[in-house]
Amino acid sequence: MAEDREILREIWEGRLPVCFTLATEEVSTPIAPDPFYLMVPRLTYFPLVTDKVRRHFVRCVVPEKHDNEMWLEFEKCPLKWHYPIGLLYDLLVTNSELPWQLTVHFDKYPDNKLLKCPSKDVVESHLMHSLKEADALKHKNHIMALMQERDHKQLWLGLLHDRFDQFWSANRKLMEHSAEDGFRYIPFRLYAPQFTSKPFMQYLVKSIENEKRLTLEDLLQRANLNFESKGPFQVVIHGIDLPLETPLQWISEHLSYPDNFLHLCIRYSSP
Amino acid sequence: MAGGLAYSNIELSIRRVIFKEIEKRNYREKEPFEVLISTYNKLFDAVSELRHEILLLTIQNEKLRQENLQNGQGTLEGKVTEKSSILEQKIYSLQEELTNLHRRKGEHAQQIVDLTSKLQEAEKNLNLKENLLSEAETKIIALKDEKKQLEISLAETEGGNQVLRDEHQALQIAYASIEEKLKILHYENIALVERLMAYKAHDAEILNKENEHFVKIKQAQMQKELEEAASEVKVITADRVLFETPLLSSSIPTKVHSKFDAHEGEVNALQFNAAGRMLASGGGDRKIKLWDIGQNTCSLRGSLTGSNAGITSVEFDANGSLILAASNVTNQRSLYFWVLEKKIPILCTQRRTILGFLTFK
Amino acid sequence: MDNNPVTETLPDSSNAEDNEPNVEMPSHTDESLPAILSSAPATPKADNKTPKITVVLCPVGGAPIMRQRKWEVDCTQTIGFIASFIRKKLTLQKSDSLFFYVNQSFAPSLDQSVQNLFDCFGSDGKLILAYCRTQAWG
Repeated sequence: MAEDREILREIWEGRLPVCFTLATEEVSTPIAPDPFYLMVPRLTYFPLVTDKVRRHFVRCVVPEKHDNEMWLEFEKCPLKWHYPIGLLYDLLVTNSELPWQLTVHFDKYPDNKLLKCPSKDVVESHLMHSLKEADALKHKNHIMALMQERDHKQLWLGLLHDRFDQFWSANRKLMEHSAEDGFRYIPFRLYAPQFTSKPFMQYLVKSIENEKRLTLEDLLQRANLNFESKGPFQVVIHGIDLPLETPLQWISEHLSYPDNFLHLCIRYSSP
Repeated sequence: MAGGLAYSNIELSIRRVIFKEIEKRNYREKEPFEVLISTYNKLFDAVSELRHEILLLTIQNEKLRQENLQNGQGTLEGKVTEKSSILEQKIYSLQEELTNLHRRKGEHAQQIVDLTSKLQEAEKNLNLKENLLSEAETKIIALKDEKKQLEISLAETEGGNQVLRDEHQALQIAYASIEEKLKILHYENIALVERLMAYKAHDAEILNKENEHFVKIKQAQMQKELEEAASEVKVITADRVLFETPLLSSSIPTKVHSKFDAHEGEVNALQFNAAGRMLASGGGDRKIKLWDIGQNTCSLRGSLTGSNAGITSVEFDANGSLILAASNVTNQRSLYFWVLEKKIPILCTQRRTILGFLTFK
Repeated sequence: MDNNPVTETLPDSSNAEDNEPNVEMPSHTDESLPAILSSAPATPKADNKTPKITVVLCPVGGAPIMRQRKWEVDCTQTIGFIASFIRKKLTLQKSDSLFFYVNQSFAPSLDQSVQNLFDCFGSDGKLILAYCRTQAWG
């Protein structure tokens, strides 16, 4: 049961300053448009917060591209819209230069690298399936299956309109567990781009084993990968370094993203 | 539930560490920019709104300027033209309203016409329905009367039936009683008949006895007479016998009545007719001769020819009008019929065997 | 994970095709695929050294049945790769919908790797994916 509301609230209110600039090659008006600044929540997804950005920039591209899908890029790297914004920042930005400079494109959508996102319904479906996957790991999908459509909608609308109370009134059901046991398996994804070529790692880790509560360190050990071989590292989530002794059950309850996953990044201190 | 997972002190310290980390992050990422960017967003929105207003105003301005040019008035009379243009605008709008109202009036009139026609149709339908309804009601009344009539007749027939049934029952009872009487009478009858039979038998016995008695007496008398007669002797002459019917006399002939030559050859057959007056003789000369038999004489009446061979048998029929004769030849054994008037045979048949004696039946 | 109910509800897959040889899914397809972030190298080409995972595809609802249901897939491949492969096999158009489900409960993201799904949701050494032309479980 996620009791520590203070922590939950702080995590929910996390924001990042972003500066959106239109790609220079796509500007069709004589005067380039001003860059657009926005404080985006860390926990949400880009398609849900970029309506104003689109409206601002779409006037400045050629009319044929007015209906194209907008996509974002950071340092030549297209941003996957189905990753939460906080995860993208933790993963890509190592130099902590703020505001986060992103480039807006309307042309040449990179189909081979990005999934399409024609509407917010796609984002909703993605959120729901992530929640089901997380619940499948935590509770064998019992709770999501028992939840009514109304609660599913609460989760989505709470995220969409940035309403903490609405979201967590439904989400706390997903954070429930039987006494003494904790979750069956912890839903998490481990991102280590400097270590491996895989996009992320996901494997089964229980929350309690042999009556001992597992910690972050145990999770890393279960990967059977020698992370330390590349030097000292830190596990980053929501922009904070996690101590390795933190119990997994607590982390999962309080620091999960809205899709109920822990998106943990391994960042090496040395460049 | 969380009550079971009590967080130890270590975990609480970890939590504090994490909380501090979050604060640090916010300090780094959020706080410097929050106010700034929100103000920027507000300004941005305000700017875009103002731009939009400016756009609208310029459009209005352009319109007004164009109207100005159209009126052709100078700038001195700018105000007057402004007023007149305003008035013109008002007139124009009022004219538009007027046309609108006219159009709407026309539409409403059309609607009224449609509705009145619909109303008339509906009234017609209603009248039809009422007529149908009244017809149906009269039918109902007629049917009800019929029904009453039928009920009355039904009751009557039932009454008649009942009467018949009663009569039938009475008749059956009478019949039963009569049957019984019949039976009784029948038995009585049988009894009486038996008695009658008994009496008759008795009478018959008596009669029989009397008859026997009488017969005995008669026999006794007869015997007496016979004995008396036997003692007498009587002579019987042959003449008397001849002229009595052959049936009554049974004496043996002792004298020849007459003798003559009948045929050229042998005589094979002879026959008297039923009356005894005529004699037919058939012979080997192939003729049949008919003789009248008188008191003392026989005269030739006629001869019948036609046979191919000797006549072996001759027969008269019961009437005496037909003669049947048979003849015998080795290859032809024939039967001949003669009708006496005609003297010529009328029928011939052939038979294998020698025909002996024929008789008419 | 309690995976037994999954295998029980799909009787045909395990019994009928145990004798069939598992077919390797070729790693080259005509269509381009969503790949990982460009900061990491692209999906490696299949060589005999990469471990393979047995994937069993089960049709759900009115989905067309494939003759070959068991496939060996490189562990580094993604669901998107399997999706485009099946689209080719079933000759679906780009506009035709195709949905995948794991454990009859959720649809994995198209860039999720087969290795991860197998580690978390595999059963009896196989990963069972249900595919459908309509949304079966949301």
